[in-house]
Amino acid sequence: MRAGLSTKEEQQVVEKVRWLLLAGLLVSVIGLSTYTFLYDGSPFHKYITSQHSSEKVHDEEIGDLSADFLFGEEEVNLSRVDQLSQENDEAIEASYAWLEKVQHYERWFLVTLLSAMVLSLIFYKKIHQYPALVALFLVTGIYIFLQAYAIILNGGKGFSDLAIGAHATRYTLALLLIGYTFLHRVTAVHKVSYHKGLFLLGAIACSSTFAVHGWEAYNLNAGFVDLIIGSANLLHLHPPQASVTKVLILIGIMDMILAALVLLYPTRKPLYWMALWGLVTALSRPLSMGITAWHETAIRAGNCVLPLCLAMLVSAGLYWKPIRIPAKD
Amino acid sequence: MIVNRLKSCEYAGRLFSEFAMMKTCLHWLLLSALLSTSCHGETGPKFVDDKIAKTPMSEILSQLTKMRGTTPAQWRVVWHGDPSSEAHVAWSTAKAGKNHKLYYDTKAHGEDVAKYEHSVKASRSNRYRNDAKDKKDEKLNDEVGYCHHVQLTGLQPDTKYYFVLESDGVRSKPMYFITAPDGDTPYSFVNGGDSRSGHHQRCLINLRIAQMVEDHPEILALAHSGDFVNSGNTWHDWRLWLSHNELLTCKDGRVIPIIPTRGNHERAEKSKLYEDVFDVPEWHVTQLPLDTYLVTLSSNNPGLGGQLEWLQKTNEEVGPKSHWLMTMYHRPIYPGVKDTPGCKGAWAREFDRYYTDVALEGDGHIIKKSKFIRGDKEHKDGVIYIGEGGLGVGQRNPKTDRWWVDKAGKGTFVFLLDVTKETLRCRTILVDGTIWDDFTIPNKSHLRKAAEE
Repeated sequence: MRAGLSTKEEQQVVEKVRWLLLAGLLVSVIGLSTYTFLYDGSPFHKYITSQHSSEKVHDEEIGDLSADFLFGEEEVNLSRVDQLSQENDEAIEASYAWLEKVQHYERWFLVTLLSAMVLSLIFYKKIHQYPALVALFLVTGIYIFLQAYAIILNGGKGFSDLAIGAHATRYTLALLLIGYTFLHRVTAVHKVSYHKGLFLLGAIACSSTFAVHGWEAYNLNAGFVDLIIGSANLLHLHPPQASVTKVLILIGIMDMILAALVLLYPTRKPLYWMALWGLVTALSRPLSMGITAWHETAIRAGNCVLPLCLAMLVSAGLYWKPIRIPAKD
Repeated sequence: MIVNRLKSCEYAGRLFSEFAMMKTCLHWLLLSALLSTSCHGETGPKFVDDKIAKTPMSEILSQLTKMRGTTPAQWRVVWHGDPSSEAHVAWSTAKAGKNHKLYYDTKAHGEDVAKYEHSVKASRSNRYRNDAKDKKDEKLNDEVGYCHHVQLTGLQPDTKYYFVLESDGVRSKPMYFITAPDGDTPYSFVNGGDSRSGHHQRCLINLRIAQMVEDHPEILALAHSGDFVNSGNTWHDWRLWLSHNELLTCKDGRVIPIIPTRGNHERAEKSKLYEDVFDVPEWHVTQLPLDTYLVTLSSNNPGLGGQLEWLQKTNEEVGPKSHWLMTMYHRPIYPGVKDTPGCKGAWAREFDRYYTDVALEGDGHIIKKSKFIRGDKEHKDGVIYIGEGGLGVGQRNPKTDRWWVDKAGKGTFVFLLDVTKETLRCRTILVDGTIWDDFTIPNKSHLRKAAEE
């Protein structure tokens, strides 16, 4: 950790980082909320919808009993299946009413969350004076994390089982905000290790997101192939898929190397590159899919903001490097 | 005498009232007949009856084949390419077995396999490639079944092919399928998607389809828009779907062929089971009568690379000679619930270029009919996008405020498409038989030909 940074300088850097984190989190939640306001609901809502519908029609139980009857060795009493399936019709209708209410509450929750975050952004210099805001950031972080977890549970998307790792930069923005809101309460003795801890948390999140995306690229995620071709077509390049897949493998390797670097040997240049790359890949969505996919960029704000914050912290010396290469004499 | 007069008056009155009742009945019959041909509302007449929608699950299950030893079960006839001369037949057994055969003939011989003119050995038999990490599937790992595939070629068009499946001497019941007619024969087919959950509803809609085929033998096949099961890499899910699919066999043994599409729940990078179940290419063309070409795409593979090149090449080849040009894929280009896929612009342009008549979609879990769209705006010569899937899954709330949505709703449903030289009539049939929507799609072959010239 660099010595000699005055408290005022440290405060200025932290304020900038805090603003960036808050702005990134706000943009990310705006992007995420489009699913609730414009599309078929958030991943979490989709999950509870499918679970609830499924439970109400006893789908799993009917499936298990059917399987026992068709594939098992023992005799199955089918009257239970009839009993379960006859309950269906009314139950389906009742479940929709309940689920519509949930979505209604989720909309209000998001409106409240976004309003509070906009206010926090306006008065960001004073947010450390209001520790209650920690609850707001915590709720936001949990909300984003739950969406990632719901993506795993929902399935049906390429590499969806890696969503928690892929979305780490999103919910970690909230965790770091909490950390930097409490910074002024940390005593001078513990400040260095506190900074190190926060930096490490950010580095792990960055590393996780880049590693997962790298793995997906290396394994030729179909969506990524379309993003590259779609963006290249705008430049009238029209690359053949065979070339794109080769590029994608290289991108995958690059992402994984960056993921290792940020964790083991964080330096400014790779972090700035990661921020730029995070921005480019986020922008490739509306470039390739049209402006209606703007929310896809917004959701990924963390992929740019978090490495940028880490680069600023490295510049200010407020970081931690697990591997130290001794300087040449 | 007075009594007799009174009786005769009473009789005349009764006669009069009966006549009046008959007249009323006649009016009702006429009215319902009229409605059945012009219904566009949600309260339309029944397509058949609603008994099917009330079939108990136990009754359904008792119709299905139990997977035991080498008993042939879970049969399906799969179409792609030219179904007037070829068909793919596949089935499952619980145990591996050694000799898997299909006996077939154009004449019915019942269970007497010696009389069948042809017999063909399975060209491919393997254990279903269950690569799930699902806890239930780990438990079931020892119980994963075996698939057997036979490709039939050189068949005659519009012909009944009777067949019996045999695995190590154990035989299936005698069944048959009908090859597609060639030439200008009017025909029908059903389309639907998303059967990945709602076991009971899935079975009921299969029964409905079978009933429709029994009542209307001109229905050739089911074009499935994808999402057969919830988790495409788990045998746990596929085995139930495969057994439920036996319900696409009519009472007289007619098996309804299926034209499959890969859904996002059968993702290409994961589901080897999809290949074991259908053994079809990722994207393919099915040639149907009246020079109809059904171009099936995979919205799970890159849509802008090799697949787009294939679509362009295929459209170039079949577009000008097609009388009806249709396309089918899973993820909607003009969705009624979700957001648009990355390949929307490129695919829609390609559909526009060759004046595709209709696009069949799945994924959204709603009933949707779009406006006619061309150049990303409403246009009388545009493509109509219908579907979004309801072969069992719970339905979502459609976004009816989107500019491209013409009509949308919820329900377990299939589309019945009646194809003639002049028009394509499409009826949305709910599981209880109600006709939810009835519309016609004009033919655009003249535009395709004009564009070619």
